[in-house]
Order: sequence, then C-alpha cells, then structure tokens
Amino acid sequence: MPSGLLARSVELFASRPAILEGGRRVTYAELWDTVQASSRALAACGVEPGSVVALQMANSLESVVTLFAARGLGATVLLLDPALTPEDVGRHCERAGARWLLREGAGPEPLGGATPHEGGYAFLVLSSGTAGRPKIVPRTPEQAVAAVRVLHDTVPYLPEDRVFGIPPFFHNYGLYDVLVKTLASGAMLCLERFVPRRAAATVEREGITVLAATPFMYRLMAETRFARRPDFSSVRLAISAGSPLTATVAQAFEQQFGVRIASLYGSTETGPIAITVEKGTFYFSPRKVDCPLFCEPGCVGRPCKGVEVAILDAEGHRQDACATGEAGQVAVRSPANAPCYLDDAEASARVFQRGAVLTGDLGRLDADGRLFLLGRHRPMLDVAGKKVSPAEVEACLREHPAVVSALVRSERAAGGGERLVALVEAAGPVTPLELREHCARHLAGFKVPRDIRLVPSLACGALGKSPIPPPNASEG
Amino acid sequence: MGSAPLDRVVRVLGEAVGLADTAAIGPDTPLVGGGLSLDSVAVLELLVGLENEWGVELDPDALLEADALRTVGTLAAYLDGRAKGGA
Repeated sequence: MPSGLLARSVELFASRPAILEGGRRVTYAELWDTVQASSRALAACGVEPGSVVALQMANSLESVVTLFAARGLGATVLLLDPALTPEDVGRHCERAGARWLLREGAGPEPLGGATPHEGGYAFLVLSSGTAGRPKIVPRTPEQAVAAVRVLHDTVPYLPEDRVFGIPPFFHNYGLYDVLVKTLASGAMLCLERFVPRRAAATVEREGITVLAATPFMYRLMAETRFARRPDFSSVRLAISAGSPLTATVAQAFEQQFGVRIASLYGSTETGPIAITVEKGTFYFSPRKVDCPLFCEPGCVGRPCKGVEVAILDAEGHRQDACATGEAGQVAVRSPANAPCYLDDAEASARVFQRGAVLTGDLGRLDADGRLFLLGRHRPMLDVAGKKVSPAEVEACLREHPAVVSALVRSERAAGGGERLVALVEAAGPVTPLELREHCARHLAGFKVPRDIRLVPSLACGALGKSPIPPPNASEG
Repeated sequence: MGSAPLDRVVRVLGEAVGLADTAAIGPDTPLVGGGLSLDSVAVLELLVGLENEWGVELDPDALLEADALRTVGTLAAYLDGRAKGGA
C-alpha cells in the first residue's frame, strides 16, 4: 500500500523533485520509472506477492527504490541495520522467512528459501528491546498507512517541504515518519550520510524546511562550533525521536540555531504516540510549527490525532487518569498499532492486550491532556501492603537539583518487613535528610524511602550508561 | 595547554566518546575495526570532540583518505600536522 501512496504522489507531482542525493535531483516521474525497472528485476529473480525480502542498506536513493520496488510486487520487506553482523542478519532472515537479502550495489542474494508469508505484511521492523533477543514487529499495508497517517494528521508535511531525512529507514521513525510520509506528501526528501557540520551546511544550502533527526544528531550539531553559523531560518519543523530528548540538548540546539525541537514519543509497536506541538495550531500552512518545550521534565506533549493514551493502575485496569494524575503504565490504542510480534507468542500476549499496546513506560496524564514519562514501568514494590512504583520515587529524587541519578528498591528490614531504600548519586552537597524532606513534600508518606544512601556513582558499563532506564521516549 | 597531541586525543576519547578505561590506550591502539572498535556513532562523537579541542574543522572522508583513523597515533599525528598549518 505504501507503494500506492507513492503512485498517488507521482500522479500529482510528476515533475517535482522527490529525492535529492549528492547534488542530484530525482523527480517523482523519474523515481517511479526507476522503481518500475527495479521491480521487474526483482520479479525476474522470483520475488512475488508474499515473498519476504530483507533490505540491509543505509539511507540512499538505491534503498528507497529497492524498498518501493519490493512493495510494488506485494513482497514483505524486512528492514535491517547495515551495521549488523552476518550472523545477526542470518538469524533475523531465518526468523522472518526471508528468501532474498538486498544490499547496496549487489543483486538479490538468495537465502534459505522459505515459503511465502501468511501475514501479508508490508514491513517487518526490529524492535531494539532492552533485554533478550530483538522482537520483529510486523505491519499490514493498512497498518503501515495508518503509521504514516497518525503523524500526518497531527503535523503534515506539505508538497513545498524539503525534508532532511537523516534517521535510518530500518527504524519506524525513519521508515514511516520520514521516508514514506515525505513521499506520500509530494515533498522532497534530502538524503545524506550524517556528519554534523555537513548536515548544518545542507540545511542552509537546500533551504530545508523539515528537519528529522535523533537527539544524538541534534546534540552533535549543537556541540559543533561554526566560524559562521549556518542559517536555519527556513526550518519550520524540527522533529526528534528515537530516544529521549533532554532539555539540555533541546536548549543547546535552540540557542545555536534558533529552532525549537518538537519531541516525538512513540514505539515500534505503536508508531507515533505523542508530540510536543501546540494544540489547536492550524498546521496546514507552510509556516513554522509552534512547539513549546512544555518546560516540565518528562513531558512528551499531547497524543497524536487518532491515538488514545490511557494510564493503567497497579492491577492493569484503566484509571481515570486525568482526574487522579497518578502514575501508571502507559497503554496505547492506535490504528497504527502492530498486531503482534512476528514469532514470539509469549511476549505478544504480554504487550498486545485487548487492542492496546502496553508500552512498558511509566507515565501520567495531567488535567490538560499532556503526557509525562517518569521512567520504565517496573513491578510495584510492596511496602507494608502498599504498592510503590520505584520509578515514580526515582523521578521525584531526580527532580532535586543536587541529584544525578537514583535507584529505588526494597530491602528486607531487620524486623522482617520490606522497606524502601534509595541509592542516590549526587552532584552537589546534599544530605540524606534533605532528600527525605524533598520526597516527603512531593510523595505520599509511604512512598518516601526509609533509607537514602549517597553513593559515589550509579554508572556502570564502558560508556558510562546509567543502570536506571530513562523514559523510553523513542519512536522505534 | 601544550600537552602532547596523543594525550589530547586520549582525553577526547574519554570525555567526548565516554570510554571508561583510557589508561590502556597507546599510540598503536587501533580506532576502528579492532582495538577501540569505535562504531559510526562513536566516530562522530570523536570528530566533534576533536574539532572543539583543536579548533579545526574535520571531515570524516578527509580523515579516511589521510589514513588518520587507523590508530590513536596516526590520528594525533594528523591533528598535529593540521595545527602546524599543514592541510
């Protein structure tokens, strides 16, 4: 179906540029011809409706052409990171039943040879789960169109837009929110390997109007020093997704380029969930999108159009969240929701429940309908019969200016009962007593840790990553 | 502050790339494809860190062409050359 979206743009915008790569502009009509030729070549190899083909390419004109060519034949496309090892590629292809591997500059490489897929899926995307083997998330053609539609109905791209498509196409964000959405809108997609200084120069040179990148990319652009700062005045919308956007990065980027970033929250399983653009703005005009930072920590904006967000209580029931503002697991009902994981019935049963996806994120909704993420949802701790969310207490501790990170758990007290313990890494002078008082001001009494211990560091691992999972503000 | 190019590269590897154990890094330590085995993400962080440390503009393709990304030592030598007005 996404190839149907491309066909529509070809009809409407044939002579307009679709792709810009290395100074070369390819019109929609030219793109269509190239896609058709590639389709014929794939068909000659035996690719047919229902075949699964694995696409392992960096963002490029060739990857765009191959992807639409395979979809045009009705094949299911499994998207893979070019950085994966051959062993990983082999494993994923086998799980997905892929019959061909398509890589840059090479013809289709035949694989084991599975029978056509039953699901009739359009795309298979790997979900980089926090633990265990990656899940394969399928979408039917209808769900793929919905994944594009959800963000389009919230913040559309326009035919006049020049979209800088930096996020990789093997994640939801790059695939649905950047590649397919841009070409379905009749806009121009600018493709370039990301190098911060070059990217900034490209924004000015090409008059980029929509910048789509990850927090990592925004950070590096903000850290780059310029003899003459590139002009970003053409940018009307800058979207960030893929991992949580911190206020530090957002502010540094805005200070450097004068552009405020809209933070998009989503997941591979749900597609786009929420975005920090202002409610009620008339988006269908080629002007700057108003996106307040929502200043408060953890705010990921309001749900996208057509997406329903609910906060579940400890028993997994939907709570009247707006009334209570209580924290709980974020559940999402969206037309873009995937139906299940491809080959993991147990995980599917845990995550896909009654038409909703349980995101595993801990959040709360305020009276204004804004969603706040507090961390990863974890099993409730039981303290004297009362349920306490460790992430909620950690989020409270982190709001103290002296605290860098915190880890909350329960420990067996000398008397035999469970008590709440917090390990805290502080950047400035602070005493456990002050932190207890801070918690007591913001939390119910039974959620205040009995024992707060200051530790030199909670970081671990070669890259100094904190063991505390941050809010999973990632669109796949 | 007049510290040797090699020490400055190692410092950037610690600060900008976030490598925990920089004590074991020497001039012959490979940067990519072995040794530190920096991935593309880490190389970009290194690039921006080095630009800011040396106050120069670096292009990854030029670095590859000059074979500067082979080891920590070749990178330090390349940057030293740039600082002394070469290239």
